[in-house]
Amino acid sequence: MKPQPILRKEKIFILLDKARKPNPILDYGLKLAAQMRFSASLLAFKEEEPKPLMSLIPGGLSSFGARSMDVLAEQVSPIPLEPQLPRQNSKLWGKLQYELGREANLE
Amino acid sequence: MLEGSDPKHKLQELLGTFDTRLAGATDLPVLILPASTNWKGVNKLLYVMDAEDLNQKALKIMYTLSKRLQARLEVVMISEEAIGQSEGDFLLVRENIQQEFPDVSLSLHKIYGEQKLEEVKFLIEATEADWLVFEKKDRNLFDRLFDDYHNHKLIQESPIPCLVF
Repeated sequence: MKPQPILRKEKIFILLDKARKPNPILDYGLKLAAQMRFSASLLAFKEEEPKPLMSLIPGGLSSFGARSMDVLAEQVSPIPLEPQLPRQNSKLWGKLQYELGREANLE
Repeated sequence: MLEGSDPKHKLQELLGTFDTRLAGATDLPVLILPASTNWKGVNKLLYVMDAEDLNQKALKIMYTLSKRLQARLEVVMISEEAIGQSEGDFLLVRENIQQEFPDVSLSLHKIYGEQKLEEVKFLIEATEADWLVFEKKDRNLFDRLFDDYHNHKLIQESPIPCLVF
């Protein structure tokens, strides 16, 4: 059996709700992208002062070996990610649906 | 990929938190990380599937994923039937998987009975898996009230990242 073209986009879409540093979720996502030889897209939701997401990656992308990364959105504020249900959190949910739908449509 | 969150009350446990609902709402595979997760590579996948519902597409996804990650695959077949009654199904599924995955390192496990969630948690620990992987199951609220084996509960109770597709 040959590998099927199931992972077609070869991209990991990382959602962050905290711009903390160090950021274990971002770290995990970028290292996973490197292991899988995928590119990464980053979508961050922050309540505090916006700061460049790249500043969360001290050594730069090359330190993780990720192929590439683009930042889709840096701030949707002041909406917390949880524990609200999606329909109560329509702005955030709408943004997510848009970004994920756009990703899906690329297939 | 996103961080998981603990339900703050029983209703949220049943209806789902943001991450579990997102996993159910999108067609893309979703990886949910427990807050305490630290990267240590992905070397072993624990794939949970229904023994009575052999899904060829899901098997291809698992094959592609394990090849891409160069990860060992632990396949867990869950059966609603009592021990013995589904033995024929189990043997058929095992044969099918072994044919489909000739060059992937894998082990097979089977779970019967009522304590499915606890058995899955035991296997996570026993196999030292890095990810728990499963397909979305459509369970309504009524089902979730009386059975603890469903998407939300698996994600909430898993000590390791969950990949849902």
